[in-house]
Amino acid sequence: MNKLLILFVFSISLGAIAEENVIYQYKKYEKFDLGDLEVKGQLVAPGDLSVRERDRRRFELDLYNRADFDPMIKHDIKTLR
Amino acid sequence: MLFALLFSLTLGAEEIEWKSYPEPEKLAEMGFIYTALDTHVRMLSKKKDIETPDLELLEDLVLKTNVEALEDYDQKVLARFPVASVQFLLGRKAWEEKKFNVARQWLLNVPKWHRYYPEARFVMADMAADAGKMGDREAFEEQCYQSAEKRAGEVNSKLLKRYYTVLGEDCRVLRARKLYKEGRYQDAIDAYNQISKRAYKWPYILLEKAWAHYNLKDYNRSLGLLVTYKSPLMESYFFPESEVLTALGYFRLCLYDDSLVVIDEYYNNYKAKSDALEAMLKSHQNSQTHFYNLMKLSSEESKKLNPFIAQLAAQIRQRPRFALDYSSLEKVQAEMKNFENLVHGLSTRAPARKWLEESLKQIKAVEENLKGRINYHAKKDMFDFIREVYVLSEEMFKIKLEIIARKKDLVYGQKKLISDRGRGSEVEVKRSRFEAFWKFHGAFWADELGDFSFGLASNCQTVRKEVTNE
Repeated sequence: MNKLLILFVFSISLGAIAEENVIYQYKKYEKFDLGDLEVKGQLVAPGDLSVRERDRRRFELDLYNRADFDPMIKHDIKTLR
Repeated sequence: MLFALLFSLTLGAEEIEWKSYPEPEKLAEMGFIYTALDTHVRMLSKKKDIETPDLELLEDLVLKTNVEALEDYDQKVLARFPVASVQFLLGRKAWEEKKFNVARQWLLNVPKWHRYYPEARFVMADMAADAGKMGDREAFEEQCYQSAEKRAGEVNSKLLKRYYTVLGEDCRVLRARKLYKEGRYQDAIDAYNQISKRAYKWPYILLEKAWAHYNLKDYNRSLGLLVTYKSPLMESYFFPESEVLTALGYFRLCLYDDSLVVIDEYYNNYKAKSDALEAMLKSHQNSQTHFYNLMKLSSEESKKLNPFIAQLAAQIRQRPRFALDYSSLEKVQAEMKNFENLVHGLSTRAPARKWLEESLKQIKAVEENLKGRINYHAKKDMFDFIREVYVLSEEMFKIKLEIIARKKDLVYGQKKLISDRGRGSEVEVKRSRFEAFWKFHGAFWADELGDFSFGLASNCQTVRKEVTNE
């Protein structure tokens, strides 16, 4: 039994060594013929010119608002005498 | 007072036994109250121990002349006199110099029975509000209102009655203004509503109430209040800020064209007015008398002026300060004339002559001071008005720019506002259960001044603009 197990482990490690020795080769040169390319699909053209609507970011001016009437109070005190 | 003056004319200077200095009591008896006050202050300033009768006489004289007569004296000297009128004057001075702790200490000394008590409480209410002490502010303002109202009912002088009435109104308005500042707009409106339509302050508070409604987004009510200024009864009042608020009201309802009309009218209307006023101010800006002379023109003489300047002068003349200053000036001038006669009638060797000549100089200084005050305040009010017109022109320009930007957005977005012009409708009028709706078809509208509301629908909803095929 033990002998069988050793043989099994030995055969796996041999397989791993064999995988490491694989050499990949790539094409060194490839030519594309653009004129010969074909695209499968349906050709659709828009009927009119359009742009996609989106909300424009805009900044509102800081318009006048009265925070208080403190200057008027001082004025009232001063105009009493 | 008149009796005392007549009495003084019948009494020859030689008949009085003058010492090296006159006795203030005697001068006061003769009707020379300003001279008596000056004499008394000069004597007290040299005295080490000031006694109660001295202080009582001082108080009596200050109440007769008004505290302005003491304005030229050294404050360190005045601080030695524990008299409520003097302490009130010192408190006011400290308030003007923004020394609020010092002001508070002086003003707290003015007792409840005193003539200046309501005004002292008014200044203290303002200081308490600035310090964030709301409890104190409410207490002072209530004390001011109650005491001013009580005194207005007690005094016989028309001038004083008006002074106390305006003061009481000021204290009521103070409350509303502080509520506004706290952002409690509805409470502020309720406080404003407590002020009678007959009040001197009423035309001024319409604008403030309109701001409160604006901030509650009730633009229709705001616009309605502001249209009150178009009434013929209000033609002598100028509130450039009301035009800005009107333009803003229309703007918020997206009634851009209406807003632009208001802006254009503002420029057309106030440009001519401010040009006329500016030309006058430039040619007399260093004058010490021009504005004083302008203030004392009779109504006939005022007709020769530019109508706008005449109306502005009339508005300034209605203020209590002018009335008090002018009344004091008349008293000083009458006394000065009689006193001059008295001094010139004295022998050159009379022991009191030197002292009396000094007093004459002082009374002339008081007269100059009062004229200068009237001149200065009128000039300042007019300069302030011009400045306000310019500042608000900028604000109007900003609204115009914003309208242009929004109109441009609509064009780019191929949108338009829901209607070209929002139409008025009763449905749009917000009202409380105490307010009624009245159509005013052919009705007279004087009684309802200040109760109007527009009924404009908001025009802010946008719809897609249809493309027209040509």
